[in-house]
Amino acid sequence: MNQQAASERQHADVRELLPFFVNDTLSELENARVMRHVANCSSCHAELDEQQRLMALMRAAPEPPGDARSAWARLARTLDAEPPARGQSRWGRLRWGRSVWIPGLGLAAAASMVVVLTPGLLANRDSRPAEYRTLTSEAPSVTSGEAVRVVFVAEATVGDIETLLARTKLQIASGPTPRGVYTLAPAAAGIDLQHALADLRASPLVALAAPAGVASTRP
Amino acid sequence: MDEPDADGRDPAAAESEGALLRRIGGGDRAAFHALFGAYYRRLTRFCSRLVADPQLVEEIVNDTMMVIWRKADSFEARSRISTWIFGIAYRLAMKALASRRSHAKVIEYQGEIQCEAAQAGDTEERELLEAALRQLSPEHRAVLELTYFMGYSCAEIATIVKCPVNTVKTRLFHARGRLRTLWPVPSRDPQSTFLETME
Repeated sequence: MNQQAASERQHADVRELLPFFVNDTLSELENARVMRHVANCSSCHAELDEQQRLMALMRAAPEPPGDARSAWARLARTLDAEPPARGQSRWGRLRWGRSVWIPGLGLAAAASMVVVLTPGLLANRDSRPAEYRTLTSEAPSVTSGEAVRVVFVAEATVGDIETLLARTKLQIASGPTPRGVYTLAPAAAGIDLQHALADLRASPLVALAAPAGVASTRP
Repeated sequence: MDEPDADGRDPAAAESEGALLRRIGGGDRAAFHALFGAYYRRLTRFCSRLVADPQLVEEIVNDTMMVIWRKADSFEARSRISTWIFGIAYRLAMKALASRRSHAKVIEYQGEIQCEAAQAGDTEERELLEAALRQLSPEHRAVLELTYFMGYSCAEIATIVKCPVNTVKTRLFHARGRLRTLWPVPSRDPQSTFLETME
């Protein structure tokens, strides 16, 4: 009785394995088990034969309609309409609240980005201890009149942007938002934001630059 | 457009896909184009198996590629890249079916399946099989397609359709049972066929 139950269990087990025997994804051990069983079980023989026929016919099915070239053209249009959010510019991998490594970024440059001082602290740097923020820290709060919002062109590289930020003496305070907007704040006290804004607007790396709105960039 | 065999079984192809995905994560459109070329036909075929409406298939493939574009940098390599991609397509197709059920409901076969015709030539037999497959549920069609056409293992299918391995086995069992009633087995000598395949 036990032998019969064991045999039935083995039969059921092999039946479950048959589809994966047919598509060749079983382990060697499982393959051997199936072959041993099938050699002595006419019903599993028939089932195996049937599944091989099924696989052969499914694989012989004609290609469904679809033109890769026009599909790519449609997809490219969707991409064009997509703002360069998150990692869709090389710069976009940098996100506040996430710890990420930016390949190709020099140590000094990385350090300058990792350490961000809030404008408030910059104004009072002598009287208050320095506050260090990493990429995993929350973004510094930036208020109206102290920052600009920028969207970089998709072609802008990390190096390009790094150079532009150094020239304008700005640093990233937050971003990118889902629409790819960065908020830039002065890297030191006494920076003329209007001048920096004009410089940004003149740069081919910048798609859009505007003074930050009235509200704080963070809730 | 070149369509390399990039299903992940070939280590070189898998490595190349990994490299493509990393570049896509950095916003590299050329890499995205290459991955699109590698997957477009397979995704179209897989989605066509689940959804009747070609326009909806196109939308699902498009949406799948956009998810890859947006999420490439979050792929954690817990599964093969192709498993991840087909998992996205499967979920989008099931979602589309649920929201457009009246429009894209399970493809109805218009006409009777003639049992005696099952012994006709391969083309006719294949047409009968296609007609029979269309009468199955999308979930059953998905596991059959992933098993017999795409050649995934049971564990990989479980990852793609996000269900336990035993559920995959159960779905396959029921799909096969239903298919058997719609697509009769022709009379042939199973022993000889089996031995031929073992040679």
